[in-house]
Amino acid sequence: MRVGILANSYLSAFRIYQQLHDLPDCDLFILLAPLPHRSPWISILANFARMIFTCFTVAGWQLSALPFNRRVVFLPHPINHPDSVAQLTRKRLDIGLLNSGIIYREPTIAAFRLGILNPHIGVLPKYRGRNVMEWSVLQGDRTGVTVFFIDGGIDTGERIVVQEEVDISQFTSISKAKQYLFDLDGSFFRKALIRLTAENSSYQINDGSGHRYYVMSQLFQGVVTELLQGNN
Amino acid sequence: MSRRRELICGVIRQRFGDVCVNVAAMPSLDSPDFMTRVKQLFQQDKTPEFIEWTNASVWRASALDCLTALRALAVDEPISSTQGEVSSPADFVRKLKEAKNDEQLQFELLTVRYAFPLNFLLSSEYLVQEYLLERLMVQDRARIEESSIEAVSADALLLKLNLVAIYSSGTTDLRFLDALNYYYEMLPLTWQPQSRHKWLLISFLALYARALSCYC
Repeated sequence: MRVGILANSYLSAFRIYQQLHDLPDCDLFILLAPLPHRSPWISILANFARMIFTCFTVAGWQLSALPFNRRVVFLPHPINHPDSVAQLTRKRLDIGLLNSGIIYREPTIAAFRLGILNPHIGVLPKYRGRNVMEWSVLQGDRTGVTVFFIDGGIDTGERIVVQEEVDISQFTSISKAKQYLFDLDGSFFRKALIRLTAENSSYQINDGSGHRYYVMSQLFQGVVTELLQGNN
Repeated sequence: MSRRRELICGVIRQRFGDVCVNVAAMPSLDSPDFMTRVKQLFQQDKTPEFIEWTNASVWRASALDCLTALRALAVDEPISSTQGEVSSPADFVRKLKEAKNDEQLQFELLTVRYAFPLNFLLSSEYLVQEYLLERLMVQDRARIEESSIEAVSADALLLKLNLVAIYSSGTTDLRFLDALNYYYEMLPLTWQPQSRHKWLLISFLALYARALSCYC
């Protein structure tokens, strides 16, 4: 299976690469696209510098061949640009792993045979949209991570590959709890890829029965913080 | 009462007190009589005993227009209604979407449909409720945060906030009340809307206060 990590920064993509590179039957690539408002050349130079820097770290040294064996692809345009989509299509990738905050358009998603996986830090279908960890805590529901194939909507992709409850009761602040959930992306991608390469893999269905949530007010964020602190 | 509910009610009561203080301190804007009546309602030492809005299940028509009815609701006056006929909410949302770049047209569409504003409480209006919530919390919020409050039409924004405040009084779905919380925190305290209906800011605050008092 040919898998591409879609990112804007080499460092965040490399962090995921480290957790997936030993998966059997998984041909892994890093696909770096500039942010829409950033100059492509600055983005390429910045990522090139990060790549060199990473080679001199302990973890990076073990994988220092990565930049030289054509596993890192620099896209000269933002990810939804037609030229980027054409370049992705030529790579004949099966799955993309989402590692940036960009909204992906339909042609970009369609450039991957099976689609693009998103590690959503909420339980679908109930919690779609923004600040879903906070909303789950506020409403007394379980927190967790859902890996699903995206579509053009906001967390409406129908195929859920992995969903697990994750305990965040050890955290006393929203930012630390969220960062903990975000940092689980590599391990959840790993679980999802193992499931997808297994025989008889099947999906849970995201039936759209939940609500879309939005940015939470400071008033309710204060309640969430108190609830988190009350757990400790 | 669970600790979670206690905490939520605690902050909501605090916010209610805060809104009352701010309403009392507001300048008169363009409608001094209306402002005086709102201040009288919220200047009492205890939470006002609001008239209950009956949970109607059928569409109502009113002899009043939407803006007059909103002023009445903001000062807790009853508004009379008769049974009416309504067009499909899906068609209405489609019209709103077509008018997404014309805030004046959106304003007119909303005032015509919700001439009796309590119709916005009906469960059949689900699609419109969700659409207005999304407009407030995604597109309008982004424009204000990336630029300034002047980047949106004040009348259209405040009308949406008034309608969402009405719905918040009749639902336990906290997303709607929190949209009001968010805007209350985001709008500058000294804001004087550059609009035809400046008083919509006062009615928003009055209906927001009512929604806060209804939750606990």
